[in-house]
Amino acid sequence: MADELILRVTKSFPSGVTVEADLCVLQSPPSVTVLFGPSGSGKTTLLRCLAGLERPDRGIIRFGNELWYDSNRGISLSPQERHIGYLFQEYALFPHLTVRQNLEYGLNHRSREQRAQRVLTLMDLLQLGDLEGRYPRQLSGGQMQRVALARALAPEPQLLLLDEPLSALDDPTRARLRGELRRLLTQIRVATVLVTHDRSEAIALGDQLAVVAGGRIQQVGPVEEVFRYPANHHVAQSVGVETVLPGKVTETGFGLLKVQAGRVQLTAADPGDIEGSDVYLCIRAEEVILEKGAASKDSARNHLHGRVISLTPEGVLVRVTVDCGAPIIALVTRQSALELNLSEGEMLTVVIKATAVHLIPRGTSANHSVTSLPVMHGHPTTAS
Amino acid sequence: MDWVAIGLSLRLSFWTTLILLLLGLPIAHWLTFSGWRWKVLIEAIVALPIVLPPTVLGFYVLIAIGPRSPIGRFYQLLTGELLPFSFRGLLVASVLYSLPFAVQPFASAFKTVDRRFIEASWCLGVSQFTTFRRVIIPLSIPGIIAGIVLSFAHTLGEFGVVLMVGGNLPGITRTVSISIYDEVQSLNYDLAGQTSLLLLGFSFLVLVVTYALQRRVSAVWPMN
Repeated sequence: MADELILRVTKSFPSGVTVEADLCVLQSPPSVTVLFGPSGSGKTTLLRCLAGLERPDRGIIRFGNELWYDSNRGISLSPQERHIGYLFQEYALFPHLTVRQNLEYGLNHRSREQRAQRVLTLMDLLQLGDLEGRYPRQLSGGQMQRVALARALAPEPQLLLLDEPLSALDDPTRARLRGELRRLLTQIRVATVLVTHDRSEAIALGDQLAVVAGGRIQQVGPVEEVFRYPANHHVAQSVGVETVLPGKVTETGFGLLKVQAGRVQLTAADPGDIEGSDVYLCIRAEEVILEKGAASKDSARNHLHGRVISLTPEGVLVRVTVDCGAPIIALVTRQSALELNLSEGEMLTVVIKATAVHLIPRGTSANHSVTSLPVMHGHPTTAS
Repeated sequence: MDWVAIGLSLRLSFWTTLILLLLGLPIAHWLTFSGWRWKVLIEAIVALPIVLPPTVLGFYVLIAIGPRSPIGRFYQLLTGELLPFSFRGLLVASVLYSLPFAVQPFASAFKTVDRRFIEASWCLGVSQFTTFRRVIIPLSIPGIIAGIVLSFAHTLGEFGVVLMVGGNLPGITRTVSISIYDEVQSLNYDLAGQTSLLLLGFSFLVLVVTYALQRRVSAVWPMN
């Protein structure tokens, strides 16, 4: 296949740790693959193998038609030959060069005019304003991040590798830049592999999610699928038990948002950072309440009716998946499950507070805008 | 004061330092970044002049560049001259003698350059050589200045090697330190004292300037 990124490698360290990967992602259209896992799980090692900064012991790395690494044939391309853009965790901006010189650094082979033109485009794309004469030490964390991204993008790489792109920032800046980064990634449309240990970052930025735990890629798939069907307990532990649904904001007002996810409409508290209409809804399973029989009056904003699809005991808790037009996962105590006398196929009411519906903005991405009709009341496809 | 000897010493130090800069930077780069298993051998050879008595080093250099050695014969064939007891012969010896004083500060400066800057450069498609020129050297300026100053000062003060390889020919191989020795031998304590004081003052000044410069450079480019 032409437009695939294949990473199938093994690398052992003297400490006895072994990192393994078997990853194959389609890159047409270019997508963002998130390597997600706890620190020390080997994500950065995999990213470094992709960059050519680390040499695997065995395996194969292929990007499209280019063979980057093949242990059998003794092929190993240098980082220079791979035409990548790499964003380091602490950005690694050259301290002795100005912002402009940092951006021009990888453009040596171009003429002066081309270089100037490219820098101008990048300054514009990343809103670097009048920073061009400054040295890295004169920049804030957020500015450094944008300059480093611009520098990585300057030579027009075919693959963008981002190592914890937001972890060096303080909390408010990180939340703001997360949205900006997603917008940028969908705008530039370059194949991207991103490493993060932060769940909301993984959900906000990724198209594909590859869960890395214990030095191994445990599961690969679309973000919501991995969250909904964790392949094993490693993955479940990493992602947490949570309902993740792609949705669209249909209505706003009074500090609340109405969000359509599949055939379900939910009310969520407005987190204040939603731009565009595409969002991911995240509902922690512990915060979902199950009710049986006549609905009583309570303060929760969401009451959904659905059928129990599965009951899975998990220690003292039971994991209940209810089909309410979209699968919603609840985690209840064994006691409650007994008292409610839950069984598969049964109808019940799922109660979720508006504040328990956590929204992660996705902007209006190209990949998810297939049904992006004007957003208004009574979405035609969702009359239920 | 023996101005001829002072001039000669300055000339010798200048050329030695220049050659060491051109030679020392690549050697230091190789020593810092090579993954060769027997690198430690080369490291030891480079550092040898620090522990070796100058007379021993001088003796071997004298033999190596003498008319009976292949190097000496080749040089004679090429130029019609002999290396021992000439300025060029002295220069060869000086370069070897001061090699560690250039290479070691260079190498330790290279080692402190954050590895990520180097990798960032590679990932931007920039070759190893250009990375060396545009990232590693600029970020090692304080160490490079230290290496330059140390080799210059060390060459200025060399005695044993000069005596072995160069002898004592006024204007050709008679350096300041030899001149001071000569004056003392002929009991000209006043003259020896003046020249010594000059050398002392110069060495002190050089070190003060280096330390001040290093502090300023590292303040301008904090290497965190």
